[in-house]
Amino acid sequence: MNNLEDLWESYPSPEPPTADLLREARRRARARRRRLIVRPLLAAATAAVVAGGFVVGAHTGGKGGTATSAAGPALRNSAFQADLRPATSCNQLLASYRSRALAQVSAYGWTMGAATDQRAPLTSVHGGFVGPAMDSFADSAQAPVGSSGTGTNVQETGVDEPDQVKTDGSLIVRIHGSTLSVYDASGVTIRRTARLALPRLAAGQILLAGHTVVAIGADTAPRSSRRSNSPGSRIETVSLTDPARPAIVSDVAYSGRVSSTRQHGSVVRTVIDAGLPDLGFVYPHGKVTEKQALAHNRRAVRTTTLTDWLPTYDDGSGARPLLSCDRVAIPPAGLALGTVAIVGFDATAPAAFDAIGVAGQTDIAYESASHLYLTSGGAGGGCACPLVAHVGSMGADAFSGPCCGSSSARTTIFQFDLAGIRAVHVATGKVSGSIADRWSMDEAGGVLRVAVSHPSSRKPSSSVITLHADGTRLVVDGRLDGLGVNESLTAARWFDDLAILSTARQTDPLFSVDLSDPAHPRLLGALHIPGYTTYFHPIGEGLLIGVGQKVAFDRSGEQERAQVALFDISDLADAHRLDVEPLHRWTWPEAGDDPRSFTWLPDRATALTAFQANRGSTVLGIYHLSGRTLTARLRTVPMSDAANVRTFELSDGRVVLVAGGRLQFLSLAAG
Amino acid sequence: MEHEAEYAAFVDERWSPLVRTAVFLGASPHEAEDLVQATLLLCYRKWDRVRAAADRDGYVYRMLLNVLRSDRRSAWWRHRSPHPVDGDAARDAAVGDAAEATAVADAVHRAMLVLSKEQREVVVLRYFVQLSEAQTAAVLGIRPGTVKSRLSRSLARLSADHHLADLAGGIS
Repeated sequence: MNNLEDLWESYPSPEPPTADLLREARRRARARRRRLIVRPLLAAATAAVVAGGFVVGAHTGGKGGTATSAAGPALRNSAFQADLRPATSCNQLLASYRSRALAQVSAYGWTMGAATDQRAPLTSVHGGFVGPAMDSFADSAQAPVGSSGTGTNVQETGVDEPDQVKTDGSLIVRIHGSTLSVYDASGVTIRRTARLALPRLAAGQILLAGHTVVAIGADTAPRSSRRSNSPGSRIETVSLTDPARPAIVSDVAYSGRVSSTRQHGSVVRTVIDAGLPDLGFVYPHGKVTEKQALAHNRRAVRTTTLTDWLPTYDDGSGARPLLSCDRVAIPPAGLALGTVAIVGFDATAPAAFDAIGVAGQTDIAYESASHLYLTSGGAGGGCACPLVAHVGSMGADAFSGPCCGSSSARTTIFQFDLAGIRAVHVATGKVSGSIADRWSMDEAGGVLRVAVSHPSSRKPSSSVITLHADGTRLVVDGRLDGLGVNESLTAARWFDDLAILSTARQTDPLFSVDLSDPAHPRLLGALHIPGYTTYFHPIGEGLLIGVGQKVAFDRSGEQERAQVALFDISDLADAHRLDVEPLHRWTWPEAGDDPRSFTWLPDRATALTAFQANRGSTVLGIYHLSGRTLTARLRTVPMSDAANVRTFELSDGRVVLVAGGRLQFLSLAAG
Repeated sequence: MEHEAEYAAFVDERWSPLVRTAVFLGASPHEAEDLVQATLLLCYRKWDRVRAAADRDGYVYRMLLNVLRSDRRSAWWRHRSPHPVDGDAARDAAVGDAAEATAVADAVHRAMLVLSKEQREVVVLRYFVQLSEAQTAAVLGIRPGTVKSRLSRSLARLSADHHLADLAGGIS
């Protein structure tokens, strides 16, 4: 049969997967609020610490040091030292889950808040910011920032992040999907010495602590009995004591999604989001009325048990609860429903873990050298109306708060002290506005600085807010509002006493904010340039590389091309662009989505960064700085997805290019 | 929530024609479902705009085309979660039609080989989906006159190769 009209008619039409789509759409709506408004904002207390020499010193002492914070008040024997209270009984915990769930279930299942596109309207002009005449004081921007000890471009010095490839300087470990490969890079060529299948783990990423690899990924083993919306995760540790024979040391499955993993020395800390259980909800369709659907869904909530709510772990001997009831804090009224577990363990002793939980939905995890911060709410989070965060007011006016999308959306920030593998909740604070992602947060000198946006207010803009812990409360020190009116924040870089923020509409104002007095953040200057920046990297001597797009938000997409620019911020009142290297059309900078695709090689004054190009190809940009100009060389990498391209330097100075399964030395010589 | 009810009805109604369209535009059955899923997820995200659109069909087909065209560059395939949407597996298994869908898609792709990408888009939207000439023009970003001329040339090609039973078909 080749009659097209018949073919059109005869194409099978199965039942539309409406319920699945709805669920997925809501999940993405939540995830996106974290991602879209602000692209990764790279923060570096590093330069600060090195140059300024104050504060974090002890905690950033390289990868060997553990990031304990033994200072601070003597710890009582509880993981909850502030306003988060552990459940007094399992019954109390279950009752809390059920009653909050009833407020969050509709005829269509879980409600997650409105799914509106919150991009700012394309109107209005930049606010009238006037930078005071300032002499050069960006001392903290003087030091360049290199990669972590395992070759990954990370947010925080001394805090390593998982990636697809890691090195100890001569040995390279790479994970692709479920396969771990070990390479020896000490010779003339890179040689694979071993390969190990991790068949029960998919989409893996790894950490490297000494001779131990920690692989984190999705669990591919058949689902446990727990009904869950979140796919399960798996964490395996592999010993490389004999690099020719990597051996699995431990293998633990968690019912929940790993939302963040960080490594301090050999301590690995992971935040597991158990999500909301899949209770077999129905939605109105066909003969099912809205009323019937709602009744069905509410009944499903009322018959839940704790096994529906609490995450489990399985180290091979059967699924067990990850959290006992008295290790789960019932959050203050208003926090969106869910369960989040913080699990800490030493890479060399993964079986002895410490876990605490919060019976709520948190959105962003940011880990400084000494603290873990979890945020919840704001327009960027689980702000299902009327479940807006009202921490501290413990029920008093729990449901009178503003709704999702309201201009007065608030974000709750929980601060946890990190002591070895333990995490202890020590303070809670609130800020107005939404925090877009972990790059919007930075801690230096005991002060937490956050960039918040107010995307849903009538005049969207961004603010910088500083907070410090006062007893069990995180209190606001100071704030600077009105940055980038009607624009969205696209990138930021934090220094000890300085923040560089970029917001975008059609041009890219680059704001410098003086943080030297935390109580009084001051705007120093605004530089307006075409396009926008999604990633900043300080390269020392007051210079900053910005990776971004030439034209912001071009509707047709016809003008989409990446560019790399060099900024001089040594005189903050007169930040200016020294050089710009545009790429060809149809290129997108990967660094904005994933800073791990960017590498700064301080000794060679060279930046390497990957771009996605059209037709499934990748371009590696090699940017050499000489004096105050950038020289660009572009190299096509046979890799369909730029997200799989990495570069790093070995201890002997040679540079490795990883493009999927191909590892090779990269020649940086010109020509 | 009100908009979710509307959205669910919207998905129920549009799913099949969109999948069919994607297949006719050259996608495999599986890709087609992925593309339509991505398109409909985008609709959820931009629901206010979908709702406000004077021509909802036009808007949705334009999104489908955008997703299809950009498939290699970013959006849906790079940000696909490593986990399939719940129920994917179940659906695949449940559809005994999978084999038939593949067979139909193969036949369609063979037949469409005689057309250029631009011609194919016009034929699919105007002739099979039956958008109006103005809608088709708006979706593809071309002039209505171009729709007309491209369509007649394309239909002539198809019918010369006996892929269409009857050229007349009410198109003018």
